[in-house]
Amino acid sequence: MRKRRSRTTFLLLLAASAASALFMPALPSFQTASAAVFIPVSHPSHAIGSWAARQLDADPPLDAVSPAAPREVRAVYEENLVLRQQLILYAKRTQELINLNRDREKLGTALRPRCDPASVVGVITGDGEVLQVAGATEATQDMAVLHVAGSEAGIVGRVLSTAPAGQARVRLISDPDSRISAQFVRWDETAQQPVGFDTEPFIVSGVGNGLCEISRHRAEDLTSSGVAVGTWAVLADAEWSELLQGVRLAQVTEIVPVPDEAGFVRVLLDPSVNFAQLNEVMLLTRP
Amino acid sequence: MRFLPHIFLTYLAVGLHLGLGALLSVGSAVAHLPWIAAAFIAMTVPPASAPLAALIVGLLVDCVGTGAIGVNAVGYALAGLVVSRMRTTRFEGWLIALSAGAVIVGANLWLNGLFRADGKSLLGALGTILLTILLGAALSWPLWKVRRRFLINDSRM
Repeated sequence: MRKRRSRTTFLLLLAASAASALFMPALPSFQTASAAVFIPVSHPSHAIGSWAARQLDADPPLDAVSPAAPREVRAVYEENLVLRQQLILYAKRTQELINLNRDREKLGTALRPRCDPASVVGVITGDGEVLQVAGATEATQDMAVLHVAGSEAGIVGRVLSTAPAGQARVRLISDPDSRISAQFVRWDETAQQPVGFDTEPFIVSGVGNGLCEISRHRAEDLTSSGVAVGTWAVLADAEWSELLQGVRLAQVTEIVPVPDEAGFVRVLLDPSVNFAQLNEVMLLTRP
Repeated sequence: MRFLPHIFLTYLAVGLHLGLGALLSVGSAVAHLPWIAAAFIAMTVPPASAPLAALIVGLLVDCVGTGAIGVNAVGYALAGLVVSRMRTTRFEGWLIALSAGAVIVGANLWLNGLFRADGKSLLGALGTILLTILLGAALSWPLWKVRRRFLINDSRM
């Protein structure tokens, strides 16, 4: 009887565990709380273990000025070599941080304080074009996502879904399901700022492979207003934050006639930044 | 009360796994200390209860880990089934059972990695198996020596 009960419990638990392993996400808050139960063992063992590891790994402590234990010239020389290498490493890291901050400043004084960075941890392509980001603890669905990788900031897409522990997925503007209202801009030399062309706003949709398009546009409007290859399309969409209106989307790379529709053209656009190569994106957490 | 030593051993193993996990790992390969405890418990409780005992240890590991709950539970349970079939009174037999179980635990983690992004790669799983077997071999002798204190016979169930 006991054996049967034990076997039944085992099979039930096994089935539940298998189902949970396959279909349930991790439960970070529960797991963090459960781990706390083991602190009486884990904490001292970790302290002892890490102390032991430090003793095995660490270089002997520096005591460069002790008259009681004068060191050999060779030891000082070797220490200098180590310190020089560390100096180069830290200089490199400092430069990386300076570059990172300089890139983030491209967002401008209005956007920068309202954005939080998140790391790109994966690119999911196939049916759609989606970025997997981590460290997006304040991300919510449909939140705007920008990049600072090009010559200036641009739109990456919107948050598609979020998960615990700061994980989120971002639908790229090149995703075939992405639709954004936009307009063309040109650089005004006298005003030293971009100004919109005299054209109606249009819909930019994704076509995959990191590209976008305007599937159908009146050719006459484009030629009369001077839109050509190299012209930038910027965000002009009431569904997006007011702060983002005018932020770069993509650049015209090709204008081709629409077959069987005289007077209409298809405009291909390139965001000019390879989204798959981004290391960091900025989330507009405080629109 | 008969299971008190087993509960204590499980608590100790999971606690040590938490505390020393980073030190007992190389890359993504981690020595599964709780599996060694689970295998030992599976060898000392009656065969009918062995898989269940291993599953519970696995479930505890999942409850304190970072991945999906149930991944280790399934691996430990299947490995517990094997260990319960390989019950032996010889030290060499215990080592073989422990290693076979470690292979199943590692294989399960690899299979899980095929379905989930947070799972282990083949290399990580192989490393996990190797590290677990090495740690198991190192801990086996003292565990084997105190085996009698943990033994529970069928008649007492």
